Amino acid sequence: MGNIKVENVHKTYKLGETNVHALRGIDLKVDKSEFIGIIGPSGSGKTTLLNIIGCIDVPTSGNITIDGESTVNLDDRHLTYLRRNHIGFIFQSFNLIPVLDAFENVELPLIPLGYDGEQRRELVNDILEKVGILEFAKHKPDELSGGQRQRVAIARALVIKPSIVLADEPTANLDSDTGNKIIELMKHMNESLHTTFIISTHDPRLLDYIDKKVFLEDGRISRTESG
Amino acid sequence: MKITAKVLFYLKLGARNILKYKKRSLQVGVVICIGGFVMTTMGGFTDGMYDKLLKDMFEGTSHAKVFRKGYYEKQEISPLELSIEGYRGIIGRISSAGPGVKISPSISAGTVVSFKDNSLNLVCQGVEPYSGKDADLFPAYRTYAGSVREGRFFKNNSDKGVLISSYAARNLACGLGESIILFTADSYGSFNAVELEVIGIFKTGYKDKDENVCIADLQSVQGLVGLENAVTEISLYFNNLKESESFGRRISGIIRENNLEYMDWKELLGVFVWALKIGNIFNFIIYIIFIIVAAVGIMNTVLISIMNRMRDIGTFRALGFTLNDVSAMIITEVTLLGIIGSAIGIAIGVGLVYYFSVVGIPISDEMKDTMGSFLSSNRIYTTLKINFIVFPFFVSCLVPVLSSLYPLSLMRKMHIKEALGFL
Amino acid sequence: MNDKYIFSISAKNLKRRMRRSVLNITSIAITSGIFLFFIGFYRGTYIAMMRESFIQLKSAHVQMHSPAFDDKKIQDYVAKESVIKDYPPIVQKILKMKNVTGVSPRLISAGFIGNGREKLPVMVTGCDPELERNFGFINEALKEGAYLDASGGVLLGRKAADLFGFKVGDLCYVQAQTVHNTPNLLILPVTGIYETKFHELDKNTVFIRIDDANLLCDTGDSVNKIFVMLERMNDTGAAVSALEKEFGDRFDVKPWEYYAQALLEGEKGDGIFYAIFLTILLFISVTTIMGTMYVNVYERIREMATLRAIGWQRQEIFKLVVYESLAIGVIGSLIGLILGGIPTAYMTYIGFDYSKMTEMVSLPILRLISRPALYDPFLAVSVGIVSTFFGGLLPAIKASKMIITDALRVN
Repeated sequence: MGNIKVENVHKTYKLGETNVHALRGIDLKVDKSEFIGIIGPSGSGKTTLLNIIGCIDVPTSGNITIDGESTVNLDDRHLTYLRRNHIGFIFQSFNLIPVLDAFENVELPLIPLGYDGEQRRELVNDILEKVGILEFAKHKPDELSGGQRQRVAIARALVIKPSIVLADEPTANLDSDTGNKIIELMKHMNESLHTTFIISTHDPRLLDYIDKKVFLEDGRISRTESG
Repeated sequence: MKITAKVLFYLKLGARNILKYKKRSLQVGVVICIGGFVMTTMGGFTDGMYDKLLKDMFEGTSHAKVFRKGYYEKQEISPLELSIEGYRGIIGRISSAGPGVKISPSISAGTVVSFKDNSLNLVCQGVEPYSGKDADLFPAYRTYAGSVREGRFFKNNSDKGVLISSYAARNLACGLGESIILFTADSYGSFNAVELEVIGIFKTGYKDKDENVCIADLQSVQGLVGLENAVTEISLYFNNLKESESFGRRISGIIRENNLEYMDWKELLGVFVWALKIGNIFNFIIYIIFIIVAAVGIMNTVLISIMNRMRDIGTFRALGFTLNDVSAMIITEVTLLGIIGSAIGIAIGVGLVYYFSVVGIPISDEMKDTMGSFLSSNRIYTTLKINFIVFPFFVSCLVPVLSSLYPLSLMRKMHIKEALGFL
Repeated sequence: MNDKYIFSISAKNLKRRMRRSVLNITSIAITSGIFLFFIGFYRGTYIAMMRESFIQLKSAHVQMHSPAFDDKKIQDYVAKESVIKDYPPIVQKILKMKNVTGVSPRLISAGFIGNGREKLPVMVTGCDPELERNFGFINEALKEGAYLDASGGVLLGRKAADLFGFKVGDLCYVQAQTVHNTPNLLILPVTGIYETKFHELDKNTVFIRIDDANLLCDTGDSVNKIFVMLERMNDTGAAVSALEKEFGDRFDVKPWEYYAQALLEGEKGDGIFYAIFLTILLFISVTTIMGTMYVNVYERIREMATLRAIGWQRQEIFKLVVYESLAIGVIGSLIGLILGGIPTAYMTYIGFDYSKMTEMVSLPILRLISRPALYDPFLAVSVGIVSTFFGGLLPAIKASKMIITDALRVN
């Protein structure tokens, strides 16, 4: 898993009385283990594209295939199954559950997958160690700094060993030093676990870390850069 | 394994959310607590009291009675021409149809009771208080037998004499061992009298018994009214009250052949049962009003709670939890609140009902007098029944869950991206 | 900034969280509707129906009797010490008193009526037909036959008549003990049959002329009780004082409350129950509103901070929040008037026949009715508005006290 194809995807939604054309014919190919950045200013459609790839949203027209299987006609149950097993999410606001500690937040995706307590403990401790946050396992989100919270979010995204990780502006709420560290961590995870990473950002400082850059403007890909 | 882990997780999450969002939890919890308390106490104070009154009344009455057809509506005027003739044969046949049934014949007549210069209007009941092979005291007379203050109750069915209340004894200024005259019109239309020795003086506490009734042996009263081979009613008592309803059908042949009428306890207690029904309807209306107001309040709180945690809900969905999983999380939280709230409310309610079941609620003499046939003391007691715990608990847990259904349906309609805060 | 403008914004804000607002409005509507119903019901059934029926059918406003007369000793009602001789001048004097609408001298004794074979225990009530005609209920309750006239006879209740199968014109045996404690019997024609639905009257009371009663009881020309009816219930206190002043040395003067202890106890007990029930409902509504307003404030704290930043005063923010909860109160209460008004109207014009209860309880609780007053809707609306005011008060105080910069930073 990990090969993604986006074919002529359009997305229009209603904002009050107005129609907003968030995506206007996106064609994109993502290979397994790639570390891709979707770059563009606010309102360019980055988040919308990420949501559609991540099966949180559906395109108005066009097609998305993940490993040759189209996702646009799948029902909610199948999409949930896909997300559960193959897709990890990292959000701009971390989206940690406030009443659960770091360990429990990372453990969350394993519960619907049916792992028993012992298995969950092993997997969670392993990933917490990898992201460098094991000592804060028992801390609740409001006891952690921004960088630590994002590490927890990364661990949560990776604990299921997903084929794809989607990160929506992961460094937007972090200072530049912490942000750089986070991107480095994600890069490291990409290289060591061969997980496909698709990151949306408007932060130009992160461009150096990204292999393939896809520039979005007004819902269209304006250009693509590799290397 | 999978399900257990999920359920444990939901319980953990629910408990943590309850503790985190204290104000909201308290709001819902207090409403449920009050609900449980109200239902328990209303049950205990109304149903519980009625049940106790009913039970007390049954101590002094019969489960069913057999009359000559037309007698019951006119029983206050003791229509002697509507008596049951050949009653011994009828009792024999009833006994065969129901071997375990206790049977006791009696005759009622309005009399003037006099002693020297004093007189009193009383209904005289001529009774055979012992029934069956073992000559057990018929339960309807336990009240009298148990409340004898001086002298004795009848020793057997051949014992002759009369028992009067202390009220009657005071008004007549007569005492134990003295002879009083019972005077009435007999079945031939002429006046007749009989002199009987006062063998006992009772005080039941029930106004209608103490001020209106005296008890004499059956034979003496039959002689007084000129009905040697007749009685006005045959009382029946069963091991199980419910039998009274079906027994009537079993002896329908005997009833029809002899132009009789069978009335079970519900018919005999007519007005009381009607009053109970009205009371239950009133209680029901109060419960419904309360449930609606509570449900609206809880629904509002749950709605706010869900809307404010939409991002968390969206995150769960993004991580692979289904709509049903998320719904289950919320229902678990609400059920937990329901269990805690109702347990506290019901516990307080049970405490109150139990306290008054032991101590009683004092009522004035005037109140007691207006309910003379039902109250024998100046205190009314509640009773505690398992119904008053189980039913309120069930309802108090169910209402918050049902109140959550509408907010949950709204949550289910939301797209994941909307929940996450994306447009 | 004028209040009307702030109120219009608050009212518009209700639409932002429509479901929440609807639920809150529903809660207030139900509570104020129930409040409206219960005040009319309590006034109608307890104050109007029960008290008025009690006075009309059982006790009158005031009773006078000799000090030796004991209401509890029925067998001694007719005794030498307990009767009042020379009562006519007393009656005339009372009739001239202020607020007195009627006086009924009566000779009441325990007795029987019958058909010669069976008999029924009753209270034989000897009365003056002319005075009684304007006094009580009998005239209105008469269903068959005619009222008592100079020729005498007996007036029975429907239930008593049905027991014996008596029709107008049939002969009725009336039996009682004389003042010498000997039995006596009169055979009188049934002149009329009345029906009040009050069991005690319809089954266990009969009316005959005073002369016949005196003949029956051999009491000469006496009565044992004088019943007094007044214009209004509230005149009772003054009437009792006046009667005590005039007759207090010879007679006991008792107001209806003396006889209505059980009724008043029941009234109080039920009143307490209704008060507690309504308080609980109000409490739930107030906490519901409070919870909602807290959340509304929390969600819009940035907005309110912006308003403060652009120049709104603290009290204007306070009003913004309070007016929103008041708007819920106003709308909810008005809907509540309809919700409560429908059952109130039903109970006012139709009511519920409760007369069967009089077979069990010797109080004339004949109907459950409502008697709404003009000010009831204002009361109900006030309750709705005041409770929503208190619901919105604390959140409004919190909103008005916010620190602008902190609030602007809230996500």
